[in-house]
Amino acid sequence: MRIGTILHALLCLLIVCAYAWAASTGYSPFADASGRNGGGGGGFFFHGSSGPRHK
Amino acid sequence: MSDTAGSVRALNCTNCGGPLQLRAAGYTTDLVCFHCGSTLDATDPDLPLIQKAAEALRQPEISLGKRAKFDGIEWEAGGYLERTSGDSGWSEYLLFNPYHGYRFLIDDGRRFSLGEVLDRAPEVVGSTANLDGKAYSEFGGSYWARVQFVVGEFYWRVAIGEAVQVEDYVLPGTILSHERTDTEQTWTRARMLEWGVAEKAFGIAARSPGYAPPSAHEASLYGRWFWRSLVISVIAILALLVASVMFEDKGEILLTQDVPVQMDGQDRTAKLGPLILSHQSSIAVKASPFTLDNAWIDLDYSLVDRRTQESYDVSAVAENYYGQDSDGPWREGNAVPETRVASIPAGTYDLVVTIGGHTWLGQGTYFSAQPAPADGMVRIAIQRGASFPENYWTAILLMLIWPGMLLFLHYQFEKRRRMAGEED
Repeated sequence: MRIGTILHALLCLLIVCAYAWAASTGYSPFADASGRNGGGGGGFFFHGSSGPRHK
Repeated sequence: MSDTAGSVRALNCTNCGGPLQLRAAGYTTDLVCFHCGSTLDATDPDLPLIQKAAEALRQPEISLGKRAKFDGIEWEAGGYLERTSGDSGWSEYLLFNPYHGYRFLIDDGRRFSLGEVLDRAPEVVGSTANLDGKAYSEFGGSYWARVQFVVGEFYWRVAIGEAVQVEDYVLPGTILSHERTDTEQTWTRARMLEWGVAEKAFGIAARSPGYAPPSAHEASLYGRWFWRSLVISVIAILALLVASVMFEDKGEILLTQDVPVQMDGQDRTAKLGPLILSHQSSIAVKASPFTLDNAWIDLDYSLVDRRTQESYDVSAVAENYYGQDSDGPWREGNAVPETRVASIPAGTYDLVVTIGGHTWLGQGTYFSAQPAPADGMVRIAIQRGASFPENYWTAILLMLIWPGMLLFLHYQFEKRRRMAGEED
């Protein structure tokens, strides 16, 4: 299981690096739209409102 | 003076005549013949017969006479016995060293433990036995252990069928066994050896962990690994905090502008800019209507690069509804939506906003009738460096998956260990 600990440490290191990169470049997979993907998103399936859901 | 086992005395069995070896002369009281299984009185030079063998002899996995070192002390296996309690059974090897006395190598079929008889009794309070500042918890209940098979030499009178009443107290990795008969009682402390240590020392086949029920005092390796991985995760989370302070944009407002909106359902367009991004970054666009009563505003944003005319499109809706129904007053909608666009390359941009205001008339609902909202303004604020707490929490979640799995395995292990104790 020592290999598990080493892999876990490497994974954590990778995640920290990925997070630092995302923070410095403004990247997030959770954005409403992304320049990296050429735009889009955020209302492709739902656009606008039609009144309250409370009916 | 070296810590080696003592010299050997050659004898012959008084029952079958087979050659015997007495390894601990002067200490041994019973000698069970390796050839016929008869028990001989080793305290008498004539080796009188105490008991004839009741069953065929079996060979212990560790041959008697073999020597092995534990903690730098050499021990010789002199006696072997098997005990049972209900459906479970285990073996005990009596180890001898002339300078250090006796130890027990206990084989529960899965792991080996090295035990020594204590010269003092632990303090028992309720279900806890205290010894040398450590608390051992009672494991399972009291049970009878019976000798099923015996061979070799022993420092006490041992016979097949001999029974002792036992209570076990456990601190993971160590077990205290309290053995009682009508005439005497002993406390034995046994320390579980690491996987493969006893096998390597005696040159027998190594055991594998497998999925067998854990031993009563077997410490969960998962627990140890869990704490190790948790420490790694906590260090990594602290590193995440440092990275977020060092690398995240500080949220500079690039532009704030008020855009008129008419609540007639018609879309109108406004161009905001320029927005200058010195480096690739994210932006957040926040829309704040001055008033919004039972109405919504559709917002389509196009972030257009002035040089390439490439556009990044995203939409939002500001909405605010409230009313009263049979359950009482209600309210819903986000009146100040924030839209986040990630990874916008460096450049000069315009934000084209298509804006359309709508009123909700509430037909066919319990909606309280409101006058149509008046036209108004929406404040559009564009900020460099959107907030993405999801990035942070996702990173933490990924870092905690392995410790979480180990914790689950640890509890499963402990559950199986306790169940094994209850079955016994």
